[in-house]
Amino acid sequence: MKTILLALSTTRQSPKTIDYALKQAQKEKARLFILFIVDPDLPHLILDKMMDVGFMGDKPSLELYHSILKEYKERGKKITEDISRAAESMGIEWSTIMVEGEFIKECLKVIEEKNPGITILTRAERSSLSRFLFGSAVNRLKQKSPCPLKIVEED
Amino acid sequence: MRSWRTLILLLTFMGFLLLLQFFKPEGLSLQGQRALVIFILCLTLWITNVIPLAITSLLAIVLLPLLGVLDTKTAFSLFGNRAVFFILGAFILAAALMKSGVSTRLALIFLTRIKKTPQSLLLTVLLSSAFLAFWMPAHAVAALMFPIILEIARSLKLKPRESSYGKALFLSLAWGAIIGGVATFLGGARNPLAIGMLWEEHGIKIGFLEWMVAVIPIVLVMLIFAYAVIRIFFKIDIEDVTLAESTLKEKIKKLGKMASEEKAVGIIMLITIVCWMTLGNKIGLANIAILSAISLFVFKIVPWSEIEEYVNWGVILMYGGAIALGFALDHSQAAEWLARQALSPFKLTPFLFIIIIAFAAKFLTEGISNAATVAILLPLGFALGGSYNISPVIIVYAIAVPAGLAFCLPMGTPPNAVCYASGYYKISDAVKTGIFLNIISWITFLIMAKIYWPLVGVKL
Repeated sequence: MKTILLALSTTRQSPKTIDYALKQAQKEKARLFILFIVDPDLPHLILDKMMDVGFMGDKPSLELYHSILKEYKERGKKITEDISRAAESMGIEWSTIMVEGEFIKECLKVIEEKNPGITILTRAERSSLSRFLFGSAVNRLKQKSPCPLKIVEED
Repeated sequence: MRSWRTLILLLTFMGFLLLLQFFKPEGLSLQGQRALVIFILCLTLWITNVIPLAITSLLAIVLLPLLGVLDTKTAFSLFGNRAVFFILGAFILAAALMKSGVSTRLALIFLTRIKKTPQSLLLTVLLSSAFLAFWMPAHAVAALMFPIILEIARSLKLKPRESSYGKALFLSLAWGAIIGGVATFLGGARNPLAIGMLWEEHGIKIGFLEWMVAVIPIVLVMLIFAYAVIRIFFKIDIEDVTLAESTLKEKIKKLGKMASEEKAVGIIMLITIVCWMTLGNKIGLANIAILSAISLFVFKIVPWSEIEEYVNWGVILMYGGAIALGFALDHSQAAEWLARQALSPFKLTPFLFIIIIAFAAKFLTEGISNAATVAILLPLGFALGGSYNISPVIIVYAIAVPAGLAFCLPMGTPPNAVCYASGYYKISDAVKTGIFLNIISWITFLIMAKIYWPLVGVKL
């Protein structure tokens, strides 16, 4: 049976990509792996900001960090639930994977473990200048991934 | 990112060494030259933030005696500045407010008082965060209110990035805390830092009440404008907030009755504020702050081990170093030299100078920490303002107040960073609307400086 991996993260998700993955899975009669990576980068940045710029103590900064991370996890859970419901109604076989960590690393781990036929993903919303200056995780993943990637660009 | 950091660090230190070797302008003593080069180094590090802000300050305090700008005893004694101890005392008190839960209770009480409509809930969030930021650091207000507002957003089923009301709700929290943070010395450590630099360089004091009298009208006007901007730019796309109301009631219920620890912290805080207002000039703001902090432990209201986790000791390094650097620039006459160079091609009126310096503070603070903005601009402002016979007190207000009012970007202002992390709005949402508020706050500040301040004895 063919397999498709839909890779989403806190900063990389779009209805267009989800829709594309669902339609592809239905068309190819493939099993859909719905991967959601909770990206701790932004909460980390806030943690640094609160401690370095705001001079806030360890405890309240960490409490805030966990509160933001918890919210991101809940949102990730809600998104994967919505997608699995949609997959169910379209008659697609599916399973969900939720992890916390760096996007490329976690994505590669799942790709190696599940060996999907294709991985579908979108890019984080960033300017081309920022991508040029700081590089793109999706481009780096493209170089390292053992399976083909389909990048659905945002409108 | 790591390679950028290394490159910036390398270029900065190479530039520093080159300047030390070749920057020998006429009319500036060796001490002055070196003080200026250290200032340029710190300015670059504070702006790029490639090393923690406090560590940059620490570097300044070591370089000043090493390069012979100040003697070691003077440089290190500036760490013991009264402003530093005031900030320390105020941070300990704020920590006790957070740890005891009295600040969360207060926030919940405010939020459940006025509401019923989506509009009034927005206004309540804005006013509550502003009022709390009068008495504790703005970033602490944002941190303690963040989970509450998140729960409100969740209970109202607002979709991150999509709901216009969600954007308005989180911007109300950020902007309220930012605006309230300029009202007293407690909302942000940049205000006591400015006061400390004023004392070290000019021997002039600004009282707690005096500051409030000069700044609170700006705060009130800004709160009105902030609410107007939120209402104009963000459509109210929900009809009622009953679910939020029940969430808040549930949270208050969970808190139970006010604990004795909360009552005691509340009473000490009240007494402290009254003392700051009435006895601040007589016995010193720092003495009151430290005595109040001590009383928390004498009466065993809060344990030291827990308060320690709430206070970031880097604050002492940051502000001690900034004050020492400002003092060195003044003492070595480097600031005066810089002012002469900067002003010789221009003929400005004192008010035009205030317009420019307030704009510079507003511009810088969007990109870098507001404390760094004060540390960079104030020594220059004192020297430049002196050339126009502008009182250094006016310079303090003209830099410290606009430096606290950054409404667009999450880089320099923790309340903006916290609310942005909610994911309910994009940076572009805050920039598009915050830019209006930035312009309004700049104009409001200037109008108040011209019309209101002379009425309360602060003359240009």
